[in-house]
Amino acid sequence: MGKIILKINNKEDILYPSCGYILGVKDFCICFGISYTVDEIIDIKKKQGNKRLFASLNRPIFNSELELYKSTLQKLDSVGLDGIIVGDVAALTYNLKTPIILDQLHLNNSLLSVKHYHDNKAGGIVLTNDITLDESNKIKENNKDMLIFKQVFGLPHLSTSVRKLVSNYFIHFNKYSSDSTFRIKEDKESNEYVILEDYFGTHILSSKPLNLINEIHLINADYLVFDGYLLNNYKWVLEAFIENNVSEKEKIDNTFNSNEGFINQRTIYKVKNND
Amino acid sequence: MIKKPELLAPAKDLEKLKWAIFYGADAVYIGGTNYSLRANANNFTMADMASGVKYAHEHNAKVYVTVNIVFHDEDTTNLKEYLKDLENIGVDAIIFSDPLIIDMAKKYAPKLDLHLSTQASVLNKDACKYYEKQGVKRIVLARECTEYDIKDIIENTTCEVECFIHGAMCTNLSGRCVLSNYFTNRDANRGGCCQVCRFNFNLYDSMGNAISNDSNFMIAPKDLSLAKHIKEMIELGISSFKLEGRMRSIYYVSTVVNVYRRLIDMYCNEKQDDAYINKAIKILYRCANRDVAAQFFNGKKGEQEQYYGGRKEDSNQDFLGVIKGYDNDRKELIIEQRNFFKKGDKALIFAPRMDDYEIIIGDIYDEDKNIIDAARHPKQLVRVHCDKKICINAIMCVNFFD
Repeated sequence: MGKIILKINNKEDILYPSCGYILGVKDFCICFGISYTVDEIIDIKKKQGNKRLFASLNRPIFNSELELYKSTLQKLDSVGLDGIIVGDVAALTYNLKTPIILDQLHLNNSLLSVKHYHDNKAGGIVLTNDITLDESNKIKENNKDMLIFKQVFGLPHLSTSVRKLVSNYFIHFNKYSSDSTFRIKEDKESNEYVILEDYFGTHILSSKPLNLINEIHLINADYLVFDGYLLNNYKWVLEAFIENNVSEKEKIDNTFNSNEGFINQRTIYKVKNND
Repeated sequence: MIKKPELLAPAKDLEKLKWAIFYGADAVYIGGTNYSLRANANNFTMADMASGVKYAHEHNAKVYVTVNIVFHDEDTTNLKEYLKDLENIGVDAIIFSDPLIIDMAKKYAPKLDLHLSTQASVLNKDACKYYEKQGVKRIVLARECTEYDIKDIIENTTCEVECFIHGAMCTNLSGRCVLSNYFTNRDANRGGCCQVCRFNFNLYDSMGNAISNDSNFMIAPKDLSLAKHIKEMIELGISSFKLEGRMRSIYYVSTVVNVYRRLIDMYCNEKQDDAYINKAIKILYRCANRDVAAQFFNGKKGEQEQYYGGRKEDSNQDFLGVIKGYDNDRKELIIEQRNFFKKGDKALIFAPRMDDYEIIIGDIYDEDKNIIDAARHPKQLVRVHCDKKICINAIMCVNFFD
């Protein structure tokens, strides 16, 4: 079983138990409740000396941002982090000494893709939520040198647009809301989805958290990512995960309306053959 | 010296491939029965692809095959043989998004050129350099790139750059969207996208209060059209102008290819014709019936680039028929009907390398040369008087300029 690592979404998270933390880097991360400057990350590193620390710049980068992106990565490279999580392959061209962990949201689904990045200077991969347990484990078995991250709790990311889809709607219909997070629901669907905007654009997340507490002992990954983004009162869940307390599964599911996502369920590929 | 860009058209099947090339496409992109992001389309078998490549090469055009799914391990079983087959039939390049293709193709099909799909969402020159180092010949940039991004990327990389110039857009960053997986269990990145971004939604605030009325919250973008920006696009040095629409009809493919062929040729021959550009914009709008925008090219991504519940896609009956021959003796066009027309209707005929030709439909005759009051039946062959000899496979449509 891998180590439970906590994605930091508010200031209190860093007081919570776990083997380490993933910190969002200001202006370059998405779907983090809080983000940090490089200087703040240096401070945290000093205070959390015995914890694993990863900085995350988990989104694609626009051409106009490259200079700042590269200099931010170079500064982070001297902090002594355990890894830098990036969403853009541009980072693999900068010869950084810190392990670069690629997080392309939904793009790395096979052992050969991960092997490609291993052969091209990546030190690790954040696996997608779109693959099964077998697929996930096969990737690690065949890429033993790669640090493998796998989300085990939290709202799964579904999409990212650089458009301000909610703001545009409000402008168009002359409406206003002080909220920053909304829900959408299609008439025919019973499920709701979370939609929110940030400086980068609009993200849609599932409204049902992923809960893999039943599977964590089966997942062959180095780090099992616990993400409380947009959720409340989850410290007890984190503790259950750290203690591998499977008996809490039902309580977690009842509290958060969580499920196991695609870990035991394949998506349909050949539409014609399956319909 | 002006570098003339390639005009790259989509083709759903062998028939559309031939239409696209006939109407002036320099290259077509197609999907095989496996590994393509249009799993539900009538994709090409290997034999179809071989025929398509042969036809294209005989007409000085190229064929690119999409192998652009995000692979799961189970999908890679016969991939090696597939790539070898594509190389053997003479495919000019494959369009891919998953990097495992780079390693597989280098090893098993080294003669295939590699084009990185827009699914990889490459937005910057350093990401281009990553792929350039891998031997990727061409990069299809993310549709979110601005004119300045494209310029800087071209000036600072050696790979060819391909950009979309017309067609439907994803709302989200391509490849970074799995809405379809969660809404319908169909894998968006393996060809099953059900276009959730075209759905209508209800929008609620954090307290569960409805904000939208009658599910009028939409996230669908308007289509992309850069017809007004062809001059700037050519001057940027873009290698290939790509048209979206592998699911489209022959009318759509022929119309859009014909228009962009003329726009590109006009500019490269230094015959800028503003009147035709305005005409082209109307033709393009009529053939898809969707609102268009330049989207990110101008750096804009505001309110005007998306729909708000009023997205209409009414089909029209503009496509009247296909010219199947010309009777020199009787000076009659032989037309295969596609939509109803009758005597007195005003029509427009277009074909490659020909100015659009306007006619008023005179007497209509059936195949036995009997007068009929109207062309009523799909695929019915009818005859209509026309002084000008028109080539086979010209298209007759409603003259919506009149």
